[in-house]
Amino acid sequence: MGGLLTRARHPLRALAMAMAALSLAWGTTSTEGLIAAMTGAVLGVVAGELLARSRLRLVVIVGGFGLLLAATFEIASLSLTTTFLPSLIGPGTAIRAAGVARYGVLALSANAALRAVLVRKPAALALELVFIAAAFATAFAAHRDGVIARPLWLSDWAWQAGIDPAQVFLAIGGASVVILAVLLLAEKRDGLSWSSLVALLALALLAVLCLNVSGLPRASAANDLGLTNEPSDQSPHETPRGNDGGRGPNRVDGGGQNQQDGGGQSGRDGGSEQPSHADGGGQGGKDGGMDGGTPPPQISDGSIGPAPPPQGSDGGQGQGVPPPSERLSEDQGPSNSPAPMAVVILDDDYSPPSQAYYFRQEAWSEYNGKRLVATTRSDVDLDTLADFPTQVTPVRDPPPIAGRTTVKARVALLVEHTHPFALETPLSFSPAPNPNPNRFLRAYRFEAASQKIDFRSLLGRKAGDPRWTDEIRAYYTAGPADPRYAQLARQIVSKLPPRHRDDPFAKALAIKAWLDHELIYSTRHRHAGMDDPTADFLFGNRTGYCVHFAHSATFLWRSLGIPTRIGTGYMSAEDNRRGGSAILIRGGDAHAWPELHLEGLGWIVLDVQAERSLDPPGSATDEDLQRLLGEMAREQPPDPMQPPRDHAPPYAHYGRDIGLGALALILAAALVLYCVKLYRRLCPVFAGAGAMPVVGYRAALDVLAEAGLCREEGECRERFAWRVKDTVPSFGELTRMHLAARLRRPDIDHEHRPELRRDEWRRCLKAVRREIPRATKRWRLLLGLLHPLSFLESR
Amino acid sequence: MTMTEAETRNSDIPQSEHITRTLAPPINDLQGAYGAVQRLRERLQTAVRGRDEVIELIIIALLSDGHILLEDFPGSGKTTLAKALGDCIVDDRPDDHIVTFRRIQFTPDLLPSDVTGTTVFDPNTNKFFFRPGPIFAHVVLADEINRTSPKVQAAMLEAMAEKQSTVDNRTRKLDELFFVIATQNPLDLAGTFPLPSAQLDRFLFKIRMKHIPREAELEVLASAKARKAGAGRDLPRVTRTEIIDARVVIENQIHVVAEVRECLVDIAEKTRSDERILQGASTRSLVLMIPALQARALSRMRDYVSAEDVEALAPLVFGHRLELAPGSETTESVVRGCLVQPLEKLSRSTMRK
Repeated sequence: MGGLLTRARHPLRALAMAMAALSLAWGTTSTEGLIAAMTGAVLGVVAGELLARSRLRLVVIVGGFGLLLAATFEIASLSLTTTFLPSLIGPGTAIRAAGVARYGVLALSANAALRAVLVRKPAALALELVFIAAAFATAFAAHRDGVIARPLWLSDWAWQAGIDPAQVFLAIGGASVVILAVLLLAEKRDGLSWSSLVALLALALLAVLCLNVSGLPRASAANDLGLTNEPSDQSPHETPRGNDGGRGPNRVDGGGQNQQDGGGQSGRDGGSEQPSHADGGGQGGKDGGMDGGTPPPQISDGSIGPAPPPQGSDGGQGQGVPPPSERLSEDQGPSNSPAPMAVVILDDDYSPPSQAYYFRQEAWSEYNGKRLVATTRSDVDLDTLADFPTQVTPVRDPPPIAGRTTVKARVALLVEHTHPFALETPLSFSPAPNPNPNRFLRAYRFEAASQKIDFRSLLGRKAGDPRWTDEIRAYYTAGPADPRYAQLARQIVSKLPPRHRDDPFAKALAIKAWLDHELIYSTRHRHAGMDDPTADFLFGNRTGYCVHFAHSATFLWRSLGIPTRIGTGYMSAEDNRRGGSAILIRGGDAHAWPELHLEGLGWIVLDVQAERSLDPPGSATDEDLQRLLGEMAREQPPDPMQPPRDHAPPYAHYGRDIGLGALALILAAALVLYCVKLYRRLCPVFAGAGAMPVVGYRAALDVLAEAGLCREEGECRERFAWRVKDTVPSFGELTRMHLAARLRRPDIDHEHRPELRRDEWRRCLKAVRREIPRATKRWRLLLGLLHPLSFLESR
Repeated sequence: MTMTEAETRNSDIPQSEHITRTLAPPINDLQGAYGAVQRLRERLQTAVRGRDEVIELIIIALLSDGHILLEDFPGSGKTTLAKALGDCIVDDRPDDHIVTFRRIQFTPDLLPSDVTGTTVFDPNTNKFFFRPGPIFAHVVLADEINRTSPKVQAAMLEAMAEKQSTVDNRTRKLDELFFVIATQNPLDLAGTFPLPSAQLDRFLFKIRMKHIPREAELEVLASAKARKAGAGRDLPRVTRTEIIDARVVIENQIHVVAEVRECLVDIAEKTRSDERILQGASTRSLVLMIPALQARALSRMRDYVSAEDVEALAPLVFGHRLELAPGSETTESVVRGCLVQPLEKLSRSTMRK
């Protein structure tokens, strides 16, 4: 076993280094680069080992690899910055070749230098440990933030096998630590002993105790979806902007007027095709009507006319739904977290006209003098559900069926939510068995009547519900008293062709289009602490995020008497579905949007999509993760009779428990070992004369081992006694007695065998115990006394 | 023509000067055997300074009926040592025509009969008689044994292995106490006939002597005059019979536990399975080693063989018997490597109940 290990240690080390290189380089280079890194690591180990055995000086070896590295990087960057190589082999190949060279040589040099240093200076072994530990640390680091599954191939397997990937990673890390430790032991270098192994294990134990690595890293779903901290945040630290807002009225007219033309202009253009148009829109906004100042009526015709041109040559899609790619960048909530929150499995293939799925969790319709909040009344917004369903629960106010299609879906929550959410607009909720209690917190089903009718067909309808009382209608149209809203709204609506000026949806759409063009998306501008944050936003720098957008649209619409509310929940672009039936909802999908109520249709989502964004684009949906979670959410539960694990919070202290258990185990083991130690020490007191040569000598050996004096392997007892004779002179006599007792002819009379007499043994043992403290440092003795395994060294 | 022992003449073989019958009591216990060892040791140590280890090995070989091959440079005291050994032994059977010490200087033109002896025609009696060669002695110094032809080496080695010598188809027994100290120069190999390994096997030990320590060398210079004057001549000596008796005592009374024999077999197996060694230790070497271990135990005043004896003697016994694969390591380090595990096992066996 030992021999095999010794022979296998170089291949093992090469393998470990290759895996470490792979782990470190993962995600930063192409497949070719990864292969090059692994190959380089293996070659580096070999080269380092060979070079270290040569007569070259260490400085030369390390310096040489440094030079090689620098030269390779220089050549690689040269070959990319000049046109020669790319023109010769093509740019893609050139980039890949440069990556291969960089990563291969980097791995080679690092490993070779490391190996050479280690062979020459064994004390630097920690470097190797750090290298491998860093590799695994990055693997774990990739694991945080709810990106549950890196590398995916491993976590996919783990999930399908029903294991937490964190435990798999932990097991891999632990196994690699053990392999490393065994390798270190197999090398038998100076200063490496069992105690260093124990130290390594203690380190791992500490890590397990301190880090909560088990369980999914979960994003927390705030009740307000992380949006409302904006208006209610009272920190008054943005007073300058307040002044700016105070000067508002003068600017509003000018600004609004000034940008109206451009807004119309680029609103149409932006609505058509080009994702990159956001910038152009911005330009257009500033330049006003520089490129011709298309007359407003024409815009209205083009964008919302009842008989628009069939396909988007000049804004047939003018409802202002930009391409999803653009929307992705705009619709991140303030928490731009990619953490998965839930999975929705559509039973029916439903494609929304807005090209985005709106999952409403709550509706904000009550104006509290500052902003809209969830209603406190019991007779409005009856199409949401406050609690998770325990039976089939129809909503109390289902929408009209006209213009809608029924969509059934299953929702599996990864994160605790306060209310169930459903595709707008839900008809009923019903409980569903949790398909995978290890993964999901709960599941439910909903049935929704989702919008099917085209936006164009919404024209010509009255706003509101005829069944509503005046009081409810007033409730849905209540807004701030600030006259600027109505003024701005009227101004925008005045550009509509006359036949649409009384059409609620056309007016709403015109305002939406204007907002699309004028507003700038940014999660950094919160407009917090204002008396009216919406006014600060809308009549200020117009830079904010979805909550501001939704409030602006709502207040403008309400000022025109259109019943409006804000829906909150999640929005996911249709493209994210990638044609599958599973929709992965991430923390960043949290959204708020304005809705308006049309007669005979119910609440219709008409979202504001700013064309300009100051935020960097977010990460795309992880398709593998979506597919995987979708499959898991679809799974049948293992036992249908088992009630879904709704209320017990997932137990998340496995790591700590494992750590504490291991600690207890170690303590118990130490106790047993101390008992063994004590027994071996006290044995000569009550042992008979016949056993004395063994137990007495063993006690003496233990005492010597505690003082750090141990017989080496293959060393004869006499030689060992000779070696320690300066420290323990009596030990030589003890050894002679022991050997004589064990090796002499057994038929000699006991009278002639002093080595079998107890008093002789007692005398010598006493002498040994007396002599050792005289020649040994006290700390060394204390250390030996505390070492639970010291008796393993005595042999 | 037949020749009998009576016809053997040794008139022209010079006799050792001190042929005195000692009246020492016969050796029949370890005390007596150890006394003989001590007498030998003291005389030899007086004669040769700084060679205590080699002296002990020579005594061990003498007591375990083995022969010794010394590898050393000229002038390092080989001959002195061998002569002193011959001087230590008293021939208490002067009638057998066997002297205590002979030296043979091997040269390329030496003939076997120069070693074994030859039949000579005596014109007075008109008969052939056998004139014994120099191997008819108790202690024979075979100086530079690798300088002579294989034929002569073979004659010598037959005598060593069988304690007999064949001349003219007649086999003559050598004495029970027949001890060869052969030497060879390890460096000056030009014109030599290196001993094949089968013949090296006849030697119990091959000892590579190192230069003596500085203090010992100074002492040699200081005591040169005293030694020339015959210092130590009056120290007590041992008789041939005492040595033969001591051998018997050692064989019977020094205890060898089974673990020691197991250890020897372990070592042999280890050498046979080691890939650095082409040819491992032979069974004969193990057989020869047991008395050597016993003799060493006696020399250390013990009545049991311990692991230390094995550790000390194994390299000397196995060193020249192994054939190493072409490579870099020295025989000694290879043998030491093979010793570690068996010795560890042996050492640990004493702690077992």
